[in-house]
Amino acid sequence: MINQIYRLVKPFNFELYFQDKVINENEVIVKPTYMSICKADQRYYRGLRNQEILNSKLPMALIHEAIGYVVHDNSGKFKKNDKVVLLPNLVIDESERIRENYNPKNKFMSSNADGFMQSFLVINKNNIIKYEDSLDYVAVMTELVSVCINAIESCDIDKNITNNIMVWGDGSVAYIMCATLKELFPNSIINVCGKNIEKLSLFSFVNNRYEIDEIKDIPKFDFCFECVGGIATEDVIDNIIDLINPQGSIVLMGVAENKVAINTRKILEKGIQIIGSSRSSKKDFQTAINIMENSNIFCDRLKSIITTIFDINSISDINNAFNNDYTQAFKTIMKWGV
Amino acid sequence: MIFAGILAGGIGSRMGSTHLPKQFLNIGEKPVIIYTLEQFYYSNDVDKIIIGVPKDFIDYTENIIKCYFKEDINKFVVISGGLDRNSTINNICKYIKDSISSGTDDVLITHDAVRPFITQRIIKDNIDMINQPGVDAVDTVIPAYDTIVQVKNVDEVEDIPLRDKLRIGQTPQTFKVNDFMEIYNKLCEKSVEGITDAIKVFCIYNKKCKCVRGESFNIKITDPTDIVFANTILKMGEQNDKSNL
Repeated sequence: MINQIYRLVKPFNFELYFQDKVINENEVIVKPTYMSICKADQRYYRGLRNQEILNSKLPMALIHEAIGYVVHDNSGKFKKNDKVVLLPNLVIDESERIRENYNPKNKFMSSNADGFMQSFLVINKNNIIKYEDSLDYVAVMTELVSVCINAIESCDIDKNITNNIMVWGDGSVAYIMCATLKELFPNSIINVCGKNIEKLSLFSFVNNRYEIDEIKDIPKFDFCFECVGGIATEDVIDNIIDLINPQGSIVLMGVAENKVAINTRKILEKGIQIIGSSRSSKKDFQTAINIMENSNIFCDRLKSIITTIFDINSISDINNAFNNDYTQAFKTIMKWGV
Repeated sequence: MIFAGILAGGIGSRMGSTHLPKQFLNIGEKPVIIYTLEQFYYSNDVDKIIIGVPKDFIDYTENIIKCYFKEDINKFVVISGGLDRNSTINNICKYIKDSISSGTDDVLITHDAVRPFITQRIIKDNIDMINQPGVDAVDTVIPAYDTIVQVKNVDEVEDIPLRDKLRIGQTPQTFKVNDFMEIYNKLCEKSVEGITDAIKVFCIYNKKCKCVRGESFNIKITDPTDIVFANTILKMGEQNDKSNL
């Protein structure tokens, strides 16, 4: 089958490639319907990675957050028109010790393999999960929810007690992390701390909201999910280390392009656990889908941060979506019509 | 119902010395026609695909369909084409009426077998447009980037029409099955010959024909250079695939 692949060839420039795809026994053909733009995609699009990385990665199709429907199934596992979430992890090495999202032998679509910006995806049956017809375009947020679930499961939060949990950040990842924590730990106190008061106003369902200027008012907490990244990472981690309770856990989720200095003395003094968390496994995707299928309120909260849905019928539409997304605080969705 | 009518009746007169009509020649790993059929096969909007081929190639076409689509061949029907393009389309329409559906709103998306780079977006745009109220036919077009020269006596310039009023016609061309048959029969009664385009048939009777955007890469594989071009762009797509599992 001649497949169209929209690859980023250099910053701000997408080009259309054609590839002859053969469909193997365990593979399924999926027509993508909705895609969500991630900050990671923007870093490639805007040329914010270093030149050596860009030269080695591009040309490459972007996007690792997508949903679609089954067009053809060779695996016997799915039916035509099944609505599915697409999983970006390409598992090459199945290790019992290392989770698939951390195994360096595996590939990740839109990082070291073409992402989902294709007219069809010819994909292994294990890289899609069916979801209920009743879930609409909000299912495109599944990957982000699964990333939050992966982070939550990396530390030991007891569902049966009232935990004090802090989410540091005011962007999409922080928002979804708050919503997911609220769903999974209804008895716990969910706090958020961020810089932008307008963005924080969207976090209406959390117990407490703090601006960075109010740092002296922030109560102690036992768990913190850092969802900031970028140049602020160093200061943010410093603040968290100061505020977290002894033996607390900090889960780092933000990407800082440069190395950051960390106060190891204080980490040792307080016995703090620092955990790095990125991407997610198939298990996390399934948990995310289960939550979304069973909680309308969770889905409504997710929809609150979908800023714009762009109809995509051409490369210039893709450029418009990416350019507009860069000016927005939260998520841009592409309705994939190519 | 929505039908795809694949026009594969050509004998490949422009392809030089080959043993097969051009729609059966390989690009990449498969015959051109198979790539074309795949795009309609994988479209959830298309109910059935009817292929009009030269009579001598009915068995050949059925065999290659079985080869590439394995057991899943119920979506395809191969019939004999006509003497020209419009008579092939009429044969397809007659087959639909006689054997599949007598629906008054049945839609036929006609497409050249030798245009394998058709996209799902173009197919969908054709379907959406034909379903608009008052639309009788849909043509797929791209802007005329080059100047179009009207000639007389083969090599004498007669006119150079204004480029902004011109488009280059591609396929698909889409219409209701009943509408085409009605107009085509009227034309046959008047013995009007030499009409090579399906949309022209509708224009003659002042029907409302709308355009949808094609793509410059939705080329017709007409001569050997086109085969080279097609193979080159497929190779480029493969070379830049970083998956390499």
